[in-house]
Amino acid sequence: MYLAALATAVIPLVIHLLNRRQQKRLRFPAVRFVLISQRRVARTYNLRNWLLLAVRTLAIIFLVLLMAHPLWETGVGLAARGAPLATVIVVDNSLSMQVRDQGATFSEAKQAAGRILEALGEGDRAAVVATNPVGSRQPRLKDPREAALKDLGPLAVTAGAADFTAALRTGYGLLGQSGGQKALWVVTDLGLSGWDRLSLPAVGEYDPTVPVKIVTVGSPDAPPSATVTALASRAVHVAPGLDIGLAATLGGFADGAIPDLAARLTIDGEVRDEKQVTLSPDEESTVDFRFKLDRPGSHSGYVSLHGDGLSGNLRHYFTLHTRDRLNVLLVDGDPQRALVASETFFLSRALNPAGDVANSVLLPEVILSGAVGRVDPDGYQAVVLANVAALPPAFVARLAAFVERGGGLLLSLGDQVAAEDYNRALWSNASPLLPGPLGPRRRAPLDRNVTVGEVDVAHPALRAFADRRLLDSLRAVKVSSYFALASAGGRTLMRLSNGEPLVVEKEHGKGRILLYTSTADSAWNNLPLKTGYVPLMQSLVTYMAGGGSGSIDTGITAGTAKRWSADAAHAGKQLRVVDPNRTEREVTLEPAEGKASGSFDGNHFAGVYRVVSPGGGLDIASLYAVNPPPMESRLERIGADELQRKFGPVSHEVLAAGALSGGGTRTDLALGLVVVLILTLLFESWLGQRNYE
Amino acid sequence: MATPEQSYFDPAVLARLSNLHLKARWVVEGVMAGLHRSRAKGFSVEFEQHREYAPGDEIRRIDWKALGKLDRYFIKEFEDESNLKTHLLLDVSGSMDYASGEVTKFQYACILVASLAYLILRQQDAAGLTTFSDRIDSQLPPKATRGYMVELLQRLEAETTGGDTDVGRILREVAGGIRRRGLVVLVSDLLDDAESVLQGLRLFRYRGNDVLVFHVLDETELTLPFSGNTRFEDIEDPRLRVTADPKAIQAEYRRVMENHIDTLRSGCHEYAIDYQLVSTATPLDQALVSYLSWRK
Repeated sequence: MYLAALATAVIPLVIHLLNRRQQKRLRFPAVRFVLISQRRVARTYNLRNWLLLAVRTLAIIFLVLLMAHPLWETGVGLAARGAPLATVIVVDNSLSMQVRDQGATFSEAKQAAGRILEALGEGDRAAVVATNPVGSRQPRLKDPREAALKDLGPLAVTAGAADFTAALRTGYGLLGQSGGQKALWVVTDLGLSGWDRLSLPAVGEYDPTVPVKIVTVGSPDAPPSATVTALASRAVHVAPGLDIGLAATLGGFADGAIPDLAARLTIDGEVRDEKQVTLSPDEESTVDFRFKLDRPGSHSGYVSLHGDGLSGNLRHYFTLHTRDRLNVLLVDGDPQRALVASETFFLSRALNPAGDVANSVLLPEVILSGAVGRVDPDGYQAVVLANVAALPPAFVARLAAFVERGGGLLLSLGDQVAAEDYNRALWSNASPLLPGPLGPRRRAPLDRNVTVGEVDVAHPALRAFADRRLLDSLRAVKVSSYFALASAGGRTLMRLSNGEPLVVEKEHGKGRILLYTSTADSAWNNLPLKTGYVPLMQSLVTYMAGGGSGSIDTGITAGTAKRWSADAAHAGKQLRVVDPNRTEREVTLEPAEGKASGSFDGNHFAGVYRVVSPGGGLDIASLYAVNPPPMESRLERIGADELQRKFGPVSHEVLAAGALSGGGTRTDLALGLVVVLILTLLFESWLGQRNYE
Repeated sequence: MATPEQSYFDPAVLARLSNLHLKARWVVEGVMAGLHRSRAKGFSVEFEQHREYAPGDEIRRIDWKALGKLDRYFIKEFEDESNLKTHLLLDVSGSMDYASGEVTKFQYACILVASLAYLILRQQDAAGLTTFSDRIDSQLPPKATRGYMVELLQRLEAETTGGDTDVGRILREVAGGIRRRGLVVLVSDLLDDAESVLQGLRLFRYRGNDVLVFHVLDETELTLPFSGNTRFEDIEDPRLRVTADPKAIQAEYRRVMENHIDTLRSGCHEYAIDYQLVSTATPLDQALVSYLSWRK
C-alpha cells in the first residue's frame, strides 16, 4: 500500500507542469527590463527550480516512508536497537499443531516462540497470545522472561480450530497500548482450516505499520490424514440388552485413497467392534457398528481410526445415556373374543410392534379390568386404563399413590365408561386424577367429519410430530365419538378440529397423567389405522413413564459452549464440570425465561466431560463429549496468494523456524526519517525563499 | 482616510474630472493657495512706465512721488522680470497608455502638463506644447496670451497615445528648433536607452535652456509586484514578449529599473537638469512644487 503511495511523489512535478501551462497574460510597458532581468536570473532560477522540485519530491518520499514506519533489519530482526521493543507472539495452539507430525509441531512452535523471547533485552516487553486461549486470564505485555515462564510454558494444544482473528485483535490491542518499536510474530503450521477463517476487517483496529512475521513450523507437506466427520445413532431405543446401531462417517484428506483403514469402536474402555475400510479421496465412507450395553446409565466411547502414517484427529468421542426398559400395564376394559376387537389390541402392538420381549424398551402387559384389584401398579412404570368401566376405590387409591411417586397413568375412554362414575372416582376427591370433570359423550355429526386439529409439537411427548409426514398422518384421523371435558385443568396436547380436547396432561405429585378422550382402539376413531399411531402411543407412554428412550450423544465441537436447562426451581444450583484433564470448574444455573439455565465454554480439549450435580435432583446427562472440528484434520497449508489476500494492507513475511537462529537486529528508522524530513522541509523553505530574493 | 488636501491632488480623483482646464486650475489654485499660506509666494517684477491715472485704477498703484514732483496722478506700470518661454514636451508613445490602477501614465502626464501650462500662463510667461512618440506628433509654439491656454488644452485633449518611444532622437530634433533660451519641461516615462535620452537633454543645456524632467512611471513598473507565471507582452512592440515568474525576477528587475533611473538621475544632475521621478500615484502638487522651486 505504502509502495503505491510513493507514486504521490510525482505530485510536485505535476503541479510544476500544470503551473507552466497556466500563464497569465499581461501587456506591460517595461518588457525590455523584464527581459533583461529574466536573462540575468534564468540560469540560477532554473537550477534552483529543479532543485526545489527535487527537494519537494524527496519530502513526499520521506513522508510516505515515515508513514510506512520502516525498519532496518539484519537477519530476521530478533533484537531491538534504539527504542524499546514491544513484542506480541501469537502461538497457534489449535489441534492441527498436535496432529501434524505426532505432536512435534507444537513443540517446535514453543521453541521458536522461546527463541524470540530470549532475543529480547532489558526494557523490552512481550506477551504470548494463544489462538485458542484456555482460561479467562487476559494476556498482557510483561518482562520477556516472565512471559516465557508464565504464558508460553503452560501453553497446551486445544481441540479447537485456530482463531487468528481474535488473537490478532488481542495482539494489536496490546501493541496499541505501547510506544516505541513494535513487533508481531505468529508461530503456526499455516493450517488451512484456521487461516481460512481469518478476517482482517473483523480484527478491528489493526496497525498496518507493524509488519507481521509468520514463523512456520511442522512439515510443509500435508501427510495423509483422516477423521470421523460425523456419528449417528441407528437405534430407536438405547437400553441395556438392546441391539444398538452406530454409524460413523469417515473423511480422508489425502491425494490418493487411504487403504486398510481400521475403524474401531470402544465403549467404556472396551473394544466392541472393528471394521476395515478404504477411504477414497474427496469422498466420505460410512461404517456401521453394532453393540449391546449390559447395564443402564451413562456410558462413554469413541470411534478411533488406525492406519500406517496416518495423521489427523483419529479419535471421535460420544456418550450414551440409557434407561431401564419400561414395564407398562394395559388394563383392557372391553375384551372381546376376537383379539383384534379388544380394546388394547392395537395399543399393545404399538408399544412392542415386534412382540420381541428381549429387545423392546417398552414391555406391555395386558390384564382384564376385573383383575385390577389384584395388581400392584408399583411393578410398572406406566399404567394404561383402556375403556375401563369399574374403578374400585382401593385400586384408585393405589393408582393415586403410584402416580404420586412418579408413575405414569394413561386414561383412554370408550363406551364402557360412565362419566358420572369416573367423575365420582377420579375427580370428586381431594386429589383428583382427572384434569377436569368428564362431560357427556359426544358424537360427531354424520355429515361432518371431526378430525384431529391442533397438535402441540413443542411438547416433549409430541416432538416426533414436528415431522410433517407424521403430523399429517395425525391430522387425517377421523373421530366419531369422544367425551367432552367440562373444564380442562391441565395442558392440552392435542385438540379435535372442533376445538375439543383430545389429549390432556395433568401433573400429579412426581408423576404424570394423560387423558385420551376417545378410544385406544378403532371403535370411536381410525387412529390405530394411521401411521402416526405407533409413534404417538410410544411417545405418550414413554413420556408418561418418566423419560426418553435413551440416546447417543455425539457431542459438541471444541470451543463451543455446553448449555443446560432445567426447571426454574433449580436456579442457583451449581454443576461441577470435570474436563478430560481432570480440571474442575463450577457452573451456576441462573434463572432465565422461566427456566434455570447455565453454560460452560471451557470445552477446549477433546474427550468426555463429566457433569456432577452436587445436590442431585437434576435431570441432566452426567457425561458429554467434545470433539475437534473435522476440518482440523485437513493439514493442508494456506497458499501464499491466499495469505496475501487475507492480510491485505498489512505487510507480512513468512519465515521458516530455522531462520530464527540467524538472530539479527531491527532498528526503527522513524526518528531518523523525521529528522531528515524536517531538514528537507527547512531546506525547501530556505530554497523557496531564495528563489524570490 | 485621505485628507481633503490629499484628495485635492489625488491623480485618481482628478482623472474623474472630464474638463482638463478644470483639472489644471484645480491643481494650480490649490498649490497657490498653499503657497500663500506659507508666505513663500511672489515673483519679482520690474518698473516699465508711468501712465496717467484713470478712474478705476487701484489707489495703491498711484506713484505718490510723481504726484509730489509733477502734481499729477500717475500710475506705475511694471513689466515681468523675464518673458520666459517654456517648451512643454509630452511623450504620447504607446507605453504611456498603461495603468495598474485608475490613472494611466498618459492621463497623469496630461494633467501635469495642463497644470504647468496654466501656471506658466498665469505668470504671464509663454508656454508651448510639443507631443511626440517616435516622431513629433504636434507642436504649438510658446505664447504668453491668456487665451492660448484654451488652445493648449484643446490640443492636449485631442491627443491619443501610440507609436514607439524614441525620446533621445526627438529631443535632439526639438532642441534644434528652439532659438531663444527658455525652459524645457519633458514629461515622459523615458522607457528608452538612458544614454540616448541624456544626450538629447544635454543638447538643450548646450543651447542655454533650463531643463526640467518629469519621469512618469506607474508604481508596478517600479516594483513589478506581480505573481504567478506571466507572459509579458510589450505595449509598443507586440513581438517583444517574455514568460517569467515575476516573483523570481522581481529583485533583479528592481535592480535593473533602479539602475536605469539612477543613470538618468545622475546624468541630469551632471548637467544641472532638474530630474523628478513621479509615479502615477504621486499627488500632483508635489510635481508642481518642484517646478515652482525651480521657478523661484
